[in-house]
Amino acid sequence: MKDKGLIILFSILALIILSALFAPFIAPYSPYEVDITNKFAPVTSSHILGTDHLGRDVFSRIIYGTRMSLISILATIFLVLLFSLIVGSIAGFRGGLFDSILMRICDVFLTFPTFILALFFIGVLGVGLVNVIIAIALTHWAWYARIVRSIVLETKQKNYVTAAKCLGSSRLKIILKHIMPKVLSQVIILATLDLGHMMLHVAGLSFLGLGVQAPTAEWGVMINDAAPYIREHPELMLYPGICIFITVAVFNSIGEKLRDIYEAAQYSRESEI
Amino acid sequence: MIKYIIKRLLLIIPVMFAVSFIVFTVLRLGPVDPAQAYLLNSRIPPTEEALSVTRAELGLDKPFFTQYALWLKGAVQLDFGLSYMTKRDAFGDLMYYFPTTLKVTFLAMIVVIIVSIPLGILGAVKKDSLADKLIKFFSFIGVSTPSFWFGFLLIYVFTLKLNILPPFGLDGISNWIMPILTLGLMSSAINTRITRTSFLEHINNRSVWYLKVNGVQKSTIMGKYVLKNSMLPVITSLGMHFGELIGGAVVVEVLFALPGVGRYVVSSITNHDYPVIQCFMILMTGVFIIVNLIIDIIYVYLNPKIKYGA
Repeated sequence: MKDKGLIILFSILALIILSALFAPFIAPYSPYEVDITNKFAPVTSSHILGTDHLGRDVFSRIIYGTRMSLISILATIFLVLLFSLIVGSIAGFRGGLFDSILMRICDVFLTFPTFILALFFIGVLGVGLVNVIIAIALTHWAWYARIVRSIVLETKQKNYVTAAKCLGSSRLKIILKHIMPKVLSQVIILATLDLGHMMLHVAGLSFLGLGVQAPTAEWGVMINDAAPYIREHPELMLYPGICIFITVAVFNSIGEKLRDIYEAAQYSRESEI
Repeated sequence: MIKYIIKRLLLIIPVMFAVSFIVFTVLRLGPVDPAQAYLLNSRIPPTEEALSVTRAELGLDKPFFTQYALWLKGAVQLDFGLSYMTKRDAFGDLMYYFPTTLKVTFLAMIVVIIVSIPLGILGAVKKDSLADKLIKFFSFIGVSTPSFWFGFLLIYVFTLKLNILPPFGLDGISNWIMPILTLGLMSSAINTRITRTSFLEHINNRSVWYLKVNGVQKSTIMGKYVLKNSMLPVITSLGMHFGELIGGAVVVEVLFALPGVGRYVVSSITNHDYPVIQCFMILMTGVFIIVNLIIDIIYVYLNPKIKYGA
């Protein structure tokens, strides 16, 4: 890894993950500890970022908020990959009627505008973070399933897969050992590029009051909480927003770098042949 | 061409049919009983007796497909039933708010086109210049900023600090500026990138080099070949942007207290107001499908490589 930018990006990502993992050790206060007498405290050495409208320590809430953001985004992407890998690889590998039916189902999901469909699923499932995660996953998997299918179709015809078949490898072994690595490497890059976008969707739904509910320490909720006090205390809104921005930007940049590296590797391999 | 358009228009019918069936079925598959939702919205205690009366009243005791057929029959005549919350016609209620949503969405779409295409082209033509770097920076910021937070920042700067733009209401043009900027930021940023990449690809194409060698004027090359060809992927992506914008409009309407469908739909979602949710889905998806159809037609018109008869 010679790329300096990538090292910096991964360091920031590591910092975000570490603060999520060790939130109780980093945060000086409980994110839910209310102290009305000390509301809107200015920045001091005891409260690095001051306190909010209920006297809760903003820095502690920011740190705990990292947890919510990472957990929700990882759960979402896990579900998206799970659905799309299963559906996409079955469709690509089996082909025929199976393939047509699965692809028509994907088409149906792509007929709806994403965010509107997410609203609909929340209408069906009810309000809450878990349902938001399911809703975002349900609205994104179809794109991935299509991509997985096309990569499977492409790889299936490669000589080394035919060779493995001739040598008597079982179907499952071919899928897991020869096709999946190829699929995963491309899909994970795409997913990294999309992580930030999905995170913004989750935040948007939280803003509408359909996702994470107050008093949970979550960045979207913190922005909402700070909204009525925007005139006197705009900084309360600034901190969580910047956190969302940085996290999304880091995911986006890492995704782009990985894609560039992958494409360059692909290009050089092709020119060698 | 006309044949193609008619064919595509006719294709909308089965698609909307499928959409309506899915919307209806998925809502019924959900964990919430519509009769109970109805009673809760009417503030009637959901006793066994009240539930069975409501079921009969809403036709929920009939077999599933009969229910769907009845609902579809009404929906075709734009009768989506009464809202559980307001007890008014769901379609009428939504149509009261819908024009504002469409207006915000289309205005944002226009802003996206006006901002992103020139910026993308400028970035591609002056690659690696200061302007290009600034444009890249803008699209980097744009794709990573939560739109509602950006809206709050705009309110803070332009309403509270500079006092030049009103924070909400719909009295004049100035009221539309912040909502549209908020809504358009992300799509503008994404589309700037798409335009830049596509334009760069076509500038560096061998055919352009060949035209240059043959002494074709630079302006002709740019206008007739590069611009026209590089716009094709941009036009395709506009359909996707429209979907993002019409969804984002809900957020922006809540944020700037615009009288669009946003607030009404959010409360119908939290209250399980099924008739409204169904009508909302059909309306939004219908608009999305029609806009995508128009975009497809423009695409085919511009791209002679596609045979639209087939």
